[in-house]
Amino acid sequence: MKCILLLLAALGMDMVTSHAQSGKTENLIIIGWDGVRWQEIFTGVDSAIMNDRAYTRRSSAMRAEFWDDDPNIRRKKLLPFFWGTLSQQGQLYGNRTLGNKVDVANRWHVTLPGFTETLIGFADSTVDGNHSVPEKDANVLEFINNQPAYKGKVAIFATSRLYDNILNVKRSGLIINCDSEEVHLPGTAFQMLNEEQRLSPQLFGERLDLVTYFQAKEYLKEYHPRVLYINFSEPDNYGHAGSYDWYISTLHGQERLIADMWNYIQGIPQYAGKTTLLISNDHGRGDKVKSQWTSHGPGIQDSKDIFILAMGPDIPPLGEMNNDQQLYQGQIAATLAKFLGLHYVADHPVMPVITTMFKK
Amino acid sequence: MSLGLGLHSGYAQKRKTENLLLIGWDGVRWQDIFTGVDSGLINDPVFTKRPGSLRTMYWNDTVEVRRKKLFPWFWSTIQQNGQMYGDRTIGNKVDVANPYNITGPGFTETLVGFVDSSINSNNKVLDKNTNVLEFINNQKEYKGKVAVFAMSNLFDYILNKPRTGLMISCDTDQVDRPDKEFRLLNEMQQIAPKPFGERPDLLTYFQAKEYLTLYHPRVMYLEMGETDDYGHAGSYDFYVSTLHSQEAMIASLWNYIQSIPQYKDKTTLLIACDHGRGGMVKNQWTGHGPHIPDSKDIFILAMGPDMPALGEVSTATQLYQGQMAATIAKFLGLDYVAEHPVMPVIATMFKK
Repeated sequence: MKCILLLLAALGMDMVTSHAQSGKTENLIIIGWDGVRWQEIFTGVDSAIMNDRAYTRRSSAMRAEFWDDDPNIRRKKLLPFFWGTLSQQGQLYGNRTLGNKVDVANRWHVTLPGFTETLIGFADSTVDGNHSVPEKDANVLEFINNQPAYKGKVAIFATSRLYDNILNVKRSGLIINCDSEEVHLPGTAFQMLNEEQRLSPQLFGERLDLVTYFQAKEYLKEYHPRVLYINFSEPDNYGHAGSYDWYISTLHGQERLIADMWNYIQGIPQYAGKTTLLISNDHGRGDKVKSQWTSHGPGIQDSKDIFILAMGPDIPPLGEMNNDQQLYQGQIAATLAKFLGLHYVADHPVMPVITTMFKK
Repeated sequence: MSLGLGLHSGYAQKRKTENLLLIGWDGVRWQDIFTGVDSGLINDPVFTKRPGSLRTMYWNDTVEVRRKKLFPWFWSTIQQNGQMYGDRTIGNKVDVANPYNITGPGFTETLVGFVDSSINSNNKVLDKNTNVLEFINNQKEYKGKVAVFAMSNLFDYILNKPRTGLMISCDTDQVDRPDKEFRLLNEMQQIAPKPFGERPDLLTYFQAKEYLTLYHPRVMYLEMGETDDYGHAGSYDFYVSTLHSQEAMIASLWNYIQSIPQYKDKTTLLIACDHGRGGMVKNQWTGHGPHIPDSKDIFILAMGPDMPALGEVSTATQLYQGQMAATIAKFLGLDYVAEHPVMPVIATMFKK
């Protein structure tokens, strides 16, 4: 194994850039969306949860805004960008009602193992639930950042403070701004955002996703990263709080933020027509036992069920994937690298690229 | 004319207040202000999902310690330097004088200074009565120097924006100024998720703060409303953490203005709510209105260079919401007169 790794290292750049010829993608925007269920993505609001007074206090408002008997209309009411632009130009994986499956490969179904699997590219069995220690395994963002063309051009903005350890900031040297960290860069916008972060109500002990988003957006405007990763946490927090009202309004509101980012970058030459967007979650939430929608974990079997949404200049516009297929969370890492024409190799196993995201 | 000038400047000799910072805090209960978090609500799983963390952060068996955990700034800086009205456990009362105990009539009574019984709903009707902010803005010295920032879009109507021409930014209003600070805030407001259908208080607050930094108003009115929204939603967790955070926002604004010569030691702060919430029937804490009689019970907190530092006021007195209008004017040495009756000044807020 060691010999092979050394050999790969010796082959160096050729190996790493061998797929670069045909790709149009030069930038990546990645959204790590904590605890969003595939059920809402593909079938819209859930009538059973909406009609349960324990979870939904303003069910008539929710019904008026988001309900329709036809799930295809319903999901578009909740997530108009995904079921408009993204379904026309990209791919949506994980609708189990059609037999299209995405699973977490790790056994935990919680945040830290989920985002770790996503970014290192396999299910590291030494990851112990949400017990956070600096991750020993290399991750794909670090791998990209170590390529000369991308050095210092990879930035992570996260509501969760777990990212410093998931991405091992000390080792990887990645630009990571998470939770209560301020952005120490010139400009009145960052100054205001830092202050907003300090003062905003912390309903869940973390900064607001809105602040995370605008730190990321201001950073993109000023510093033009090639790879931008954004993590939102509020859907998971509202899920655990058992508030379907706020969980739903947060999904709807944050989908608008994602659409805003996508639309915004189309006005910038560096990004327009050269950027691939990928959206995924760390874990699902319960559904078969309806009351388990509030939670997830090894004790809730179907919280392993997740989704992946993606669109970009190299992705065949297949829309909602309806073939009988099984993908895993850990495949995202190598796929992200391949969008940039890079072949992700590491000193640990790497799950295979999602081949259907690329033209043959 | 000469009589008018004399009237208006009659208090000017010794008066130190040259600016006002007024906070309208929608639906905050006096019970939480004066007695801290409520054990009945913390221990009810219908209202509190994470009782452990609320207890850890805010509970203490001693009421003086408990309220200070929730409001560390009120119970240090305002207690030492200002006045706090409305602790009914010691007989000090502030009431809404109107019979409705809801937002529109409450902020109207506060700002016009009496009870107009025709204002009986949250309907968007332009108020025909003169209000004290308009009155101040019509004084030469204050023209264009009064600014209002609010979550609720009722303020355009309460303050009759078309008639008064007051600078009001509420709900979806952008700040139409060229400064780049407003560019980011306007962009955030356009796209921010609005779980309650109105803009987040955080953005209202920062609009106000940036406006103050750049345009130095003499009178700034800031209304925040998430507290009422979380109350109606029945989430004591979010209601309490919002109270705690927004108290820190108010403290931060106060500390900030002390760094600006125009405001330092020349600004009076007044904080009040539009209505209370239920308290006697515990599950009525989520609501308010004519059917919940004790939601008429409110509070007033104030502090400034002309105010005797009485701290928590423990006398058996009865104040009314409508008295604030004339009191606000008097802080600036103005005698609020209008075409309608005006409730009397709160005399104890001034040195004899």
